[in-house]
Amino acid sequence: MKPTLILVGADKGGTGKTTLSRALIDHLARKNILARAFDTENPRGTLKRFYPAITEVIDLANVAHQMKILDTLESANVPVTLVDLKAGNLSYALDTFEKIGVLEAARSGQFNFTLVHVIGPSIASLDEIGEVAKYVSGLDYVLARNFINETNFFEWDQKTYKRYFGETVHTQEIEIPKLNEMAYEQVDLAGVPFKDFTENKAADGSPGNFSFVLRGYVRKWMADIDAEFTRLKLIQSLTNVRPSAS
Amino acid sequence: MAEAALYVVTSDEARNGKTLVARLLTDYLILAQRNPVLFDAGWPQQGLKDRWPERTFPIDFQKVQGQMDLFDRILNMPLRTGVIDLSWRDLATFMTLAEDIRFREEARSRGYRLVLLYVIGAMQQSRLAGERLAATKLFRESYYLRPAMIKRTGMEITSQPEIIIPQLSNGVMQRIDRPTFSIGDFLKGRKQGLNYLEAKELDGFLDAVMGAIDTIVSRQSPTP
Repeated sequence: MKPTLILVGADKGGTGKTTLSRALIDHLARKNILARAFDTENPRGTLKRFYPAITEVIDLANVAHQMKILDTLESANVPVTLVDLKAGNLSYALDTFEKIGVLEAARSGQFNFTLVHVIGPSIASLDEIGEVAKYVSGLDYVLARNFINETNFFEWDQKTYKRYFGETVHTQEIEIPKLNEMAYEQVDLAGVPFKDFTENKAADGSPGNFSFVLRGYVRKWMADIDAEFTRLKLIQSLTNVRPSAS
Repeated sequence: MAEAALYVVTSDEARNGKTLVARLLTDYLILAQRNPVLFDAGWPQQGLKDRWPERTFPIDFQKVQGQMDLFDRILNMPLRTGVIDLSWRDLATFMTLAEDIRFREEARSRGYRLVLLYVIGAMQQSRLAGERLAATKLFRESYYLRPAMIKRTGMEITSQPEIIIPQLSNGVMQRIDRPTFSIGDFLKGRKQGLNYLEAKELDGFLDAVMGAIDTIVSRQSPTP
């Protein structure tokens, strides 16, 4: 099976990149698909806090760290490599990967590649779509609209909405559904994967003391986001489900 | 496994006697030494909290904290009979949330059986709304209570019999609505200022309703 590289990013901050990365890793784990992750939020590493065993914090500007990701895709003993790009790093990463031939290798099918572009509702965030478009030709490109904080995406202003969503060529679009604020905050405080929170497991593996109601909110949210992920060609190919015609 | 009943008293309409039913059920359970815990989500009134402050938890179900105060408390407390006075305002949220968080499975695994006491409202669709609640399978048993003043519409789907709540005169209603009036004490023989005719009227009312409640509660397993 060809290795799979997933980039999760956005140039604008606070759009929910790490939340989506966490949800995606959780989803893969529940499908018994092993993954490793690189967190480019150097040196802090938010993703690493939730997945310390499989996450490494790297500096994408460091060539040795780029090699850690790209030169080990084949040799890593897990099929999926996920890179959570820190805010402002998306264009840089794509530019770098284009220059060193990574994107071309992906286009030629040497490995599976998916870019998950997480966008918030601001114009600045939406403008990124046009900037990223020049890199994504021939690649699996997913636009993820983040509703986790109950944002809206200019549906009320059809002109603006069409400009960004109606006329932009992209492969697929998913929505990150809203998660109750208190539930989100408690998972964050616990520093555990969403799945462990629903199973009432603390970070050290001992039984947690999490609210049943909040666990229920997270479980429901996970079911909703799973329905979104399941539509993706990326997930369908990893789980050997024949991609749908759409 | 030991079991305890959780009685959810609700309706799809306001001011049709729901809290009175919750109150009568509570009086019955106390007299039967079932030591019930009460959850008062009876917005805007807190009819249970006012009468039994020591055993009542007020619930604002529109807030997540209130939802946790209800569900988390039930699941974390030692097995105990409970009464939830659930307002029409919170009914839809309660049902959706209970399903989303799989409350039925969790409550059953801890020994709780959920019993619905649905007070039928004046709107034609009210009984159907109650039947839809019963069909969700959240409740192990469902009972329909019809205030005598509300006529049947012929739109009922199930043949399950209804418990008729006799109508009380305004005078007696006002008396028993007073925060100091205790149905439990009345049943023990303390008239609390009711005259002969009022006491007789209340006696007849309680004979009918408490008899029905006795039938409902007796079907449940003995509880801690």
